[in-house]
Amino acid sequence: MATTDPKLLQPNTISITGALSEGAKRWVLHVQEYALLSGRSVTRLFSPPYYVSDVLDQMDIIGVGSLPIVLLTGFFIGAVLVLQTAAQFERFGQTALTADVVSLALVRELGPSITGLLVAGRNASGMASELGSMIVTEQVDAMRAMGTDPVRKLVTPRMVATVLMLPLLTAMADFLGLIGGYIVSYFTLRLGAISFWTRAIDTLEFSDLMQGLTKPIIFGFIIATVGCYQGLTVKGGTQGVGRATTQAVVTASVFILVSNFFLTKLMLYLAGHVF
Amino acid sequence: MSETATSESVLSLENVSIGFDKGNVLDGLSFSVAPRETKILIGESGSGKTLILKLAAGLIQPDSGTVQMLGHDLGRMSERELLAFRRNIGFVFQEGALFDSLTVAENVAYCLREERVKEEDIEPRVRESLRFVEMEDTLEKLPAELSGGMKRRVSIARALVSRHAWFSMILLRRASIR
Repeated sequence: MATTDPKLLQPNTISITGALSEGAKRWVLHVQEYALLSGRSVTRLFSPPYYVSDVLDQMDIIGVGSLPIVLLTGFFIGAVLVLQTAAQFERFGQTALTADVVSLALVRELGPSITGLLVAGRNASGMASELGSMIVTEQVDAMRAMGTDPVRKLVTPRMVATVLMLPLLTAMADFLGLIGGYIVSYFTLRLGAISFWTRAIDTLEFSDLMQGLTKPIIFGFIIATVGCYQGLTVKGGTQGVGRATTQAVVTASVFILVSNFFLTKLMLYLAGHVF
Repeated sequence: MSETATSESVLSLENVSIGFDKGNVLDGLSFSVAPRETKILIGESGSGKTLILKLAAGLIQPDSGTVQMLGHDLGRMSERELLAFRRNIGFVFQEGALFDSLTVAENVAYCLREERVKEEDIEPRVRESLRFVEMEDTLEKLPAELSGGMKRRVSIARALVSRHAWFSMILLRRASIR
């Protein structure tokens, strides 16, 4: 009589703990690799050779290239803030406070966050797809074969350019936001220019400006390092490049929003104790 | 492939193994290349020919075994040392691996600019190198405007343009071997 192999009778089970353990290991590996790449991109700043022309190219792509969307978005964020708050302040006859709210919200929070998210959408994806394509077509290996350090040549210039340009873009977005806010408050609340701008500027303290201009430095670092990491770890050809591009935007955006919370907490603490 | 490396070997691989998700690609590989010797690697797709060349240039490290090139044990060198060391090696990639945003002239001049060669010396050397592979008329073209064979010839010119690169490894696809 034929007997059945007992192994065939065992159900094909997937170990949940095994899958979780593998997933955790992969996640830890990603964190480690990302931290190493980020660290290396900074340490390359302290030894030659320096790729100054690459930094300037990236500043043009990231800074000048992102300027139109950042200005447009900043303008309408300021404008819509006034629309949303004006009705509330009108009820109490305190329409002049609209300028305070727009100014504080833009400089402290919305300017850095919205600009960070916009630049992440535009540039983290660009970095991931550019470096990913270079990986797929062996251009990064060719670079290494010719004695060039890819981190020094590709990652550090992007990191430096984003860190330098994001605070400037944020300042421009804040300014255009205030202009948008002023135009809407003039037409809806009949708020005069002197009244609006005096309140908008007087309400800002040094700690607000510190908060508004420190956050973009961190966000810039996140955008560049996440974009470059996703690009340099592409696997699976052109499909992989597509995945890395999407992943870069999602990861950079989440990192920006999460770090924004902790940075705000830290800045508020510093504002109370240091500044 | 199994040979004993001599002390005069330019390249020697000793008991090299490397594997990926689907198992070992190279298992206990040993061979050596003497000065002025030409070695041709023949094998089906995925058998590890490109992998051997990347190991020889230190672009990847083996799971076990040693790779020695020009008397250096590549496994004992840091990435910084390897980067400096690779300037002595010319490497031609299977598909050329030209920088697609640079012109042919800029691609060939890349190594020279990295070595901080004077600008006035770069153009004659780029022309000389491109003339050698009969591609002098493509100086201002972008890699996308070239055929596969032309890209590989430019890649050979790029590998040979550096005068430090006195040892060259050239990987040719079967269709390119006449």
